[in-house]
Amino acid sequence: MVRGEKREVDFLKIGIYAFLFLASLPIFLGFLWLFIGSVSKSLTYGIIPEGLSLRNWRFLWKIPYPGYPDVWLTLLNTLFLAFGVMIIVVAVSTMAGYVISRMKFPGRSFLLASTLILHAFPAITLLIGLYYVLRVLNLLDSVMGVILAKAGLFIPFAIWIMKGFFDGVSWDMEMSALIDGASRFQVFRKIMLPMVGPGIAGISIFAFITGWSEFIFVITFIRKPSAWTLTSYVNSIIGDFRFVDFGLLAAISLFYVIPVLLFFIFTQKYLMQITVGGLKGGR
Amino acid sequence: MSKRALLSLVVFLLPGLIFTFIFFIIPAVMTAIMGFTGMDYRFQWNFIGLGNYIRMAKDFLIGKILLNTTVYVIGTLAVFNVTFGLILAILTSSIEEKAGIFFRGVWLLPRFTPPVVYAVIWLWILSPTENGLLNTLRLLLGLETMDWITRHPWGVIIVTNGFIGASMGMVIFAAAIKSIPQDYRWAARVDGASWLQEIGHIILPMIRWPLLFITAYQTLSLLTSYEYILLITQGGPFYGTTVWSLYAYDVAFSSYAGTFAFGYGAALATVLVVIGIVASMIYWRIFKFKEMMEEPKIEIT
Amino acid sequence: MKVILKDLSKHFGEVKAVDDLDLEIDDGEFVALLGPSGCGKTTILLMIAGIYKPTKGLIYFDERVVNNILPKDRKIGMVFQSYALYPHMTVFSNIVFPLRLMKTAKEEMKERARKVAQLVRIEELLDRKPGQLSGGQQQRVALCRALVKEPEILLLDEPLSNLDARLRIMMRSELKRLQKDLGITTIFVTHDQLEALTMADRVAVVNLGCLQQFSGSDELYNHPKNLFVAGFIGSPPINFIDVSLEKSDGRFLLKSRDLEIELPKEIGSKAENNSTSSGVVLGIRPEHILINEKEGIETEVYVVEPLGREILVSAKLGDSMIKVLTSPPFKADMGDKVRLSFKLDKIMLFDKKTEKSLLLDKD
Repeated sequence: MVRGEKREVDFLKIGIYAFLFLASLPIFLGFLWLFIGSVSKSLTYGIIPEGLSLRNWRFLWKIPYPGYPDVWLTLLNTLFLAFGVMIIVVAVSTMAGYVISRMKFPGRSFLLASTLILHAFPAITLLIGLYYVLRVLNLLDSVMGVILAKAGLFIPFAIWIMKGFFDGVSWDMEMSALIDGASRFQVFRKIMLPMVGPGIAGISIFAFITGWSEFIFVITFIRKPSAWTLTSYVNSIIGDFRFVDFGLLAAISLFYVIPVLLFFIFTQKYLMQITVGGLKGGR
Repeated sequence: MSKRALLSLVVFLLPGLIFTFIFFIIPAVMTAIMGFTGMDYRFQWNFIGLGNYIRMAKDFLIGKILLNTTVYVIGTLAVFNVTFGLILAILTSSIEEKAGIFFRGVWLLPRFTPPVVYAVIWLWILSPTENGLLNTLRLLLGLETMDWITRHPWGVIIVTNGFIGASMGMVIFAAAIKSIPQDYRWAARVDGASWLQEIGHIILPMIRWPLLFITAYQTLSLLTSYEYILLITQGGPFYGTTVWSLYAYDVAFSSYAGTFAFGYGAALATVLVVIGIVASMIYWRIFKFKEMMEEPKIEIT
Repeated sequence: MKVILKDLSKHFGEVKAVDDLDLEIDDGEFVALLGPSGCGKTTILLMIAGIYKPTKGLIYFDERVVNNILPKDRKIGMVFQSYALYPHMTVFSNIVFPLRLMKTAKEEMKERARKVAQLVRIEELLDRKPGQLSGGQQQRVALCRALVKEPEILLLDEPLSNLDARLRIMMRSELKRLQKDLGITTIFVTHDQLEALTMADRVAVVNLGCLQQFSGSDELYNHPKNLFVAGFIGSPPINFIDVSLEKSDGRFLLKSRDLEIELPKEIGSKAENNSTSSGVVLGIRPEHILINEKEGIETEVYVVEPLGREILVSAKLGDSMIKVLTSPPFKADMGDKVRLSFKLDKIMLFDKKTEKSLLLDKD
């Protein structure tokens, strides 16, 4: 009787694994194809390689089609975008998050409420207004413009997250430091910053990937090839050779996604924390 | 409060305030004002009153676009973002912890993949030629190749968006399930509940709140997101998969839909902004955000 | 250093966490703030530390009003309930953190850290991180950090509550000895009466933000000023019985439906003089009740709990339960009838309305 039940549970588990595996198959195969497709002469059955070749990676040393910029310049732009967003977001949100979480001042609850409402607001709807603002500031067609806009829209969310991390530091810690002789600013620098390290790490990675992967802002605000990011590059190839040059598409896509994959594998814990933390509604 | 304290407060808060003001508040106000102009690629503020809203009411595409938006939001939400997200959360919580984390990671990956790369993967899976994954399967079964994107645009849109959307619900639900005290589940098992009964009587009732939250939150984010539609079907065939937010984008930025009608686009976007504000206010009330506003415990600066 | 609190109040919005509190702590004294959780005792401590600003009232260190002095300039050391050790610093860095902020020379820093570490015997832990320490060790480190700057006042917030029972008993005596050796005025907050009574020179019992009584443990136990103190101090707790005080033929009688006790004259007349009405609460500690089976009030044994050295008997008197502490051997079973008699010189009487003791001289 007991053994029978045990076996039933095992069947259930096997079923669950099978289901999860099958459901995840498009994701597995998709990324697998990026690898295989990028280094194969051709593919049969969509994914079985026939002969190795680096031809698909030719974009690394020469411009694949006329009118495309040097991919290394594009990579530089993409890195600039990702680091730019990251640095601004982390610096601004850490400072503001601390003040909103821990300090008492007039207008605090208004600021807190605004952050709360804005962090959930779908910023993408502001695209047209943003376009106008960037145009006035003469920031269209420049990576800087995208950095500032992206950072600006990301900041309320990041402040909210950082506030949450600061909230999590025990008040005893801060009180103790004050009694030990620190000023409020010293407390921030020497005690609080190290204590919210995981939050800063999470926000950094999150902001980096968000900037690195940005799509709508890039294709809307940047047209000239010298300011392209990898998104514009891949998007153009999709537009020009939609179902034709899959080898090139796979190679450049893989080139683009590798940093994300690395981040993802090694820092998933932090990303998960931020995803949950950002949506900690109604607890 | 001392002068020095006030100064440091300003230094800490000002960058955030400036950024939020320039890139959040001003664009929102701009969008609303532009909605009352006939602004085009020349960027002139020629006010036309409610002209854009009248045009909206008369626009022969609007009916179709409303319908599309409804299908897109409800379809994706019902099938993937809530239901499938919940299934994934429950299943990954029912197996060994490490395996569960692995599968959750796999499903979270698309969310962090650059949208263009994600689109490339699906374009390969759905390719109308025999290079595509699905068509390869059809050929193996002795069937003809199929142009999936043109033949089943809605299926494609819902699946491609759903693979992204399911992960949010999955993560939140999984966290909620994990926070259910083990005692309840053990008690249910001791009382003789089967796995399904345990889900129905213990897990689901205890994650009601996150369920409601994800539904509300994802409704809004689906309503305003369109990048995967833009990449995969481009809203076609002939506006067949154009949703409200994509329509606003097309009207304003794509030359094929006209001549950069920023004014009309802004009016269309304003509708979404208003919905966004109202929804945020509702969250504020329903999810008791106010309760998260704790008073500071140190009274010196 | 003397610490004087005058008319001290702290309100959080509508809530009066501390209300018009007066307290005078002598130099070198070891004082406990004792009360149930939420009674305002930690708020008092944080006001002394300078973290909270009093809504009203003054705090003196000796003759100096310190209300507007920042915590860092108050020359205090504090140990928190959670110890609040900085997890990213080693034990050594934790201990010298206050010195580092004062820009103390490196050599002196090392010397002083070594000294305090020796005092509480943690020299060998200096290179570890707080996360690698046991609760007891963490507590010693926190104590070191509080002591390293040679404070004039030491504040301890529930210092023992996170330790296991055995360690707590050990630390109790160690802390007491350390405080006497160093002679630093020390104020500690606790909800554990045993901690307060065993360690402190004097105990301030606080409830609902008000000071109930401030005296030594003997006074607190044997002559509580009011019902709250009587009920809060003592384990197992005191028995309370609602009675009325009646006088007939010059005799004082305590009467209720189930009992009648004749009071000695001087107690009776004192109580009568002090009382505002005839409603009286009789308090009698479990160890002041004799169980003898010949005379006294008849009750029925409800349950018998042997505690080792003593036996706790719960006896039913009418609708109420009387706890009696007696020495073994005790031979009666559940349901047996036993007679109780109260040691009349030990009974306490409280006014039912004002809850004040009727047996203390008016002040």
